[in-house]
Amino acid sequence: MPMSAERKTHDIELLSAYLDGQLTEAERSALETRLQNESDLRQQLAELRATVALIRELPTMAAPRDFRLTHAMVGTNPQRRQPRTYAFSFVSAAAAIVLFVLGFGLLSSSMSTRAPLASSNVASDGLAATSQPPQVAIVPTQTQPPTIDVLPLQYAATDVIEQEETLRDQSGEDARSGADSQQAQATSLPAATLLFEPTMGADTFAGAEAANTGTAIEEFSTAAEQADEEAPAAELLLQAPAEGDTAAASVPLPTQSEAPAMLALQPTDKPTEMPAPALALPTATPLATEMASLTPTSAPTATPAPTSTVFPTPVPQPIQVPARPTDTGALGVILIAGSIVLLAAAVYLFLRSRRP
Amino acid sequence: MSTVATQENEQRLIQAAQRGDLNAFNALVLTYQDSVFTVAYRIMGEMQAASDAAQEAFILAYRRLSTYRGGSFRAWLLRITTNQCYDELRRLRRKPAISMQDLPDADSDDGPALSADTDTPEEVVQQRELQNAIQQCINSLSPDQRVVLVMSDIEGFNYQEIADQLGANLGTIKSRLSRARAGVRDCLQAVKELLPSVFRLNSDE
Repeated sequence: MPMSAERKTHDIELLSAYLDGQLTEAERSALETRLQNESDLRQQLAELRATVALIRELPTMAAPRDFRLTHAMVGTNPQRRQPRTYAFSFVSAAAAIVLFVLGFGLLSSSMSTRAPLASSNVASDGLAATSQPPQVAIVPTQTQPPTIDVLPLQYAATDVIEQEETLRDQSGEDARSGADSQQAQATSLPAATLLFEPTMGADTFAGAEAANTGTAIEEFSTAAEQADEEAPAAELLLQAPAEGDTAAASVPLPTQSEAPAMLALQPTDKPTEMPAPALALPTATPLATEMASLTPTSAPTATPAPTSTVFPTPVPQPIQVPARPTDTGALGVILIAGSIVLLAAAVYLFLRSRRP
Repeated sequence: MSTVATQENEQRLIQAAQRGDLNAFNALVLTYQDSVFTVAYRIMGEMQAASDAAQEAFILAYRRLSTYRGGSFRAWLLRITTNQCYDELRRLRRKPAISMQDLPDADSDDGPALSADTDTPEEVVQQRELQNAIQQCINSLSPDQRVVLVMSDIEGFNYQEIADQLGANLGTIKSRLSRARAGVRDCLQAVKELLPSVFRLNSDE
């Protein structure tokens, strides 16, 4: 059957689209009907299908050469640095320097903080002046069991203990003396208590040495708690004077008078490392003042003994001292470690920026 | 071959390349250079021209990496290749006709095709001859028909994708494709008459 060229062409289009599933439903069914009836059309379809199959089966050819690009081809400078990565490397290095300086500063300040505490708080009267009062606070917090065994201070622990024992004996004797001495006792006891409290004392001493900060209160509380756990005996001592004290206010007065007594109590303190004695003795006066100013604020554990009320407040500072060197030191170490990491990052970024 | 890990690696390479890492882009080149060259060869019909076109396509792809927005990287790359070859082919066709010497013949080794290892030497030769014959027939098409045929039956794009890429309407693509296929069919019929042995394989299919 002669077919016009257009008809043939149109048929081929239909068949081609039919092979790709691109006919509408109506077109498809019409074509399939025709395919059943027209052998020529079937022949055309078969040939077309075979051709498409041959083309599709053409293999993938292997690249005849390496088509990878060189910098020359794309017009880039192989040494060109990635500006962003390059900048980041410098930022990282600068941050590393800042961190290192901060960390080093903290670390060295913590070191210097510790040293004086250990050594001579006792020796320095001046120390007692400012820092001492806090110690007093520490004591009151608790019943102040003279926990000789527990010595938070890393240094002079032994010395402190010894000192405290000495003080305790002395203060005990003083307490026994009389009403007057009671007041004095109250005064001295607190002072002694300070000494007695190795835990608290240590903290106190440390705190006294260092700047006073709020955290001292926490330390104080902790120390106070520790103190609580420990010696009931001290409580007795304290309680006795506590009654006498009644009010912190009274403390300052007797303190002043007691100052010399207090000093007498611990002649040895100064040389020793026990910060507490040093604090208590040299600054009898300042101590008293501070004691007066002390208010039983922080002592969480503190049993509200009148005496103790006086002390708690100032303590925060001393308490911190012991803690501070450790915390500050640790922070300093962390910052230095961070600076090392940043420095490594800076080096890495710098190297990366060279390979675009 | 596209496992999830491979695709993730590829995305990392692409992102690195987009940041200017030429080494990362070259890793992608190694992966796709066979496909890119094959498409270039099917369109250009000749080894040297195909090689030049493939290189140009990769350079162009590197420069236009920012236009890749995800999806099949292979498809994105082949589109660039196809357009590059299409333009080049039309430019060449305006010049004096391509020398017949440039076209690969059955005996030459210039047209390396990846054949199955299980074929006998005769089969390999015959396959080579057949493939060359098909390529010759494709070469006889006009650039418009050739590109549409390669995009549809070699690269695997559908009608709409071809229409979108070439900026033509669907009807145009349909008719061009059907004519291209008919043209290759008629051409192969002539080859069959001339080289019946070549089609011995074909007749069994």
